[in-house]
Formats: sequence, structure tokens, C-alpha cells
Amino acid sequence: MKVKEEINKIAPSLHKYVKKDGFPIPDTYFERLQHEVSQKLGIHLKVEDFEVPNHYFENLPDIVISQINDHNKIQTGAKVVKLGFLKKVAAIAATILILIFAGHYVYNLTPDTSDDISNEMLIVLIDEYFNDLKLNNLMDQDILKEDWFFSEMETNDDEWVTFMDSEYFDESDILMID
Amino acid sequence: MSKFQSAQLEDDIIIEMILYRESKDEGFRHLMIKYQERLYYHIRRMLNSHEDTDDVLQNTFIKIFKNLENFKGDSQLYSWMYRIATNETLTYLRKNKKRALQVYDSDTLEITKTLKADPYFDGNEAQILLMEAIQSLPDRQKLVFNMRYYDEMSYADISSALKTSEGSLKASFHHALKKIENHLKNSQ
Repeated sequence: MKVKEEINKIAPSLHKYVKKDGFPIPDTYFERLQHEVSQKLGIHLKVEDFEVPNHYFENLPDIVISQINDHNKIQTGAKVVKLGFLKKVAAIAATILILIFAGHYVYNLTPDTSDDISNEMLIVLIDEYFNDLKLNNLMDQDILKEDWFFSEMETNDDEWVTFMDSEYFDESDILMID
Repeated sequence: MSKFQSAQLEDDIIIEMILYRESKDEGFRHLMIKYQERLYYHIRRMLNSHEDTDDVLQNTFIKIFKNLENFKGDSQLYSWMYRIATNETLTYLRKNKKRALQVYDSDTLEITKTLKADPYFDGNEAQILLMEAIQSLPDRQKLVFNMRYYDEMSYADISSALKTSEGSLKASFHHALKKIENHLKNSQ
């Protein structure tokens, strides 16, 4: 039989009592107790580094629960604003405008190098490209070796002349090299 | 480690800490933090006075510390500590019988006056009435009543703490309840 049932059956007057000890414990009593007991035993009991205010832990659950309840009230009290048709159109138009301005802004931020190159420069670049292409073709066909071209052309004049007379040579190459 | 963490530590871990020399003091500190309040009230309900309780509680913890190596684990740690606290309390009551009788004699008016004058008692009239009823009980019935009513201990645990049969405890609690009920009814 549980305690409450037992009491209710045998002592109904006592059952109505709110169970409470009428003995409050003096503040910091247990800290003093630990100190005195450890002294009598000749041992060292470490004391807590941080002091906690009296009844802090007894009150903590209530404080946390009330804060949770307050938070829930705020959340349930928040309203969702519904937009009318005209407001929806205005919002969409505003969004499109913002996107256009943003796009324009980003486009202007990107440096457009094409305008900076002059026509003469463009011609030189195109020439370079095609010359490279031609040299690469020569090298691919093993007619012109890269090593040979760069290392020997200055020292071996006979071969250089032979090369210039060959059908693979173009006058524009001389311009390029110069 | 905080008080809360000490309270959460399992008894097995606390005992193991105490049994190792390196962690003996730290383990004993956790044991004190975990059980000091329960033991305090167990003693205080028998002695009423805070000063007397303080003396007995200190002796109880000293005995616990010195005898922990002999704790065999065949009963729960708190039952074993309750037994030490109870023995210390009863020994104290026997030694101070004269003084105890002077402070709490059978005259209920005297008990009421003493409780009201006690700076460490903040009970209301109803609680004073209940205290009077409890004080009128013989020590054995008072012990069983406190452990069952306030600590809500099972008969098995009380039996382990007091080394008495469960049948005998049930009879003691029954008699205690009857007397308290009569006292409360007659005082209304």
C-alpha cells in the first residue's frame, strides 16, 4: 500500500495536511559542516570556486519555465500579414526593378577589356595567333623542332638559311621573330 | 564539480572514489553533498534543535568516513548511512535524556513554546500541532513515522536501515498514525 493511501485510511486528518518541514536550514550551514567535518577528520575537502546565491537552484526551474512560456506567448502572438492583389503586383514590380538595377550595377563593375584594345593591337594579336598556329603545325609534322628552332637558329647560320629557303618558310615569320 | 553533479553521481562511483587513496577526499565530499540534507532532516525531526542536529550530523559523517571501507554493499548506501545516523541520534538522545526531557517534556504547551522560540523553526500553527503529535510518540514509532511520512521510504528500505522486520515496522507506523490522528482530532 502506498504511503498516501495508508495515511488516508488510518489518519484522514493528517492526510489533509500539506507536508512541509518547519525547519529551515541556516544559510551556508552545509559549507560550514563540510569544513568542520574535514577538520575533525584531518582531510582536505575542496570548496567550490564559485558561490551560488541562496536558493538559486531551487528557483532556477521556475525561472526557466516562465521564460519558455513568455517566449511561446510572443511566438503565438505574431501575425502573418496577407497582401492584397495590388500590393502583390507592386511587390513583384519592385523586385524586378531591384533585380534590373542590381544586374546593371554588377555589369558595370566587370571590366570590359574589349574597348581598351586598339585596332592595331588587335591586328598584332591576330597575327601572333596565326603565326603560332603555323609554327605549331611545323613542329607537329616534325619539320621544325622547337629545341632546334630556339637554340640553333642563332649559332647554325647554314641551317637557318636552309630553313628560310624551304617551302615551309614565310616572310611574315621573320617579322614575327624580329 | 557542482552540487547538482554530486547529487547525480551514482553511489557505486562515490564508493569507488572513496576506496582509492588518491580520490578518497573528493569522493567523500561528493557523498556529503549528496546526502547531507536528507540526513540532516532525518536527525532534526528526532531532535528538533538545530544545534543538537549539527553535533549528531558531524559525528555521523565522521563515523561514515571511518567505516566506509567496511561497507559491504549488501544494502543500499543511504540505508547504511541512515542506520549510522539513527544510532547516533538514539545514542545522543539517551545521553541527553534529562536535557531532552527538560526541553520537550510531555506538556504540549512547553513544546509549543519551545518551537515558537526556536529561530530555526518557521512552521505555522498547523505544523506546530503536528510537531506536538509527533513529539508525543515513543522514539521507535517517531523514527518509523518520519522515515515513512517525510522521506517516503519503502518498508524494505526502512527495514534495511533499522534492522527490523517489515511486519514490525508496519505495526509501528499504524500505531503512530492512530496516535497522531487522535491528537489532531482532539486539538480541533
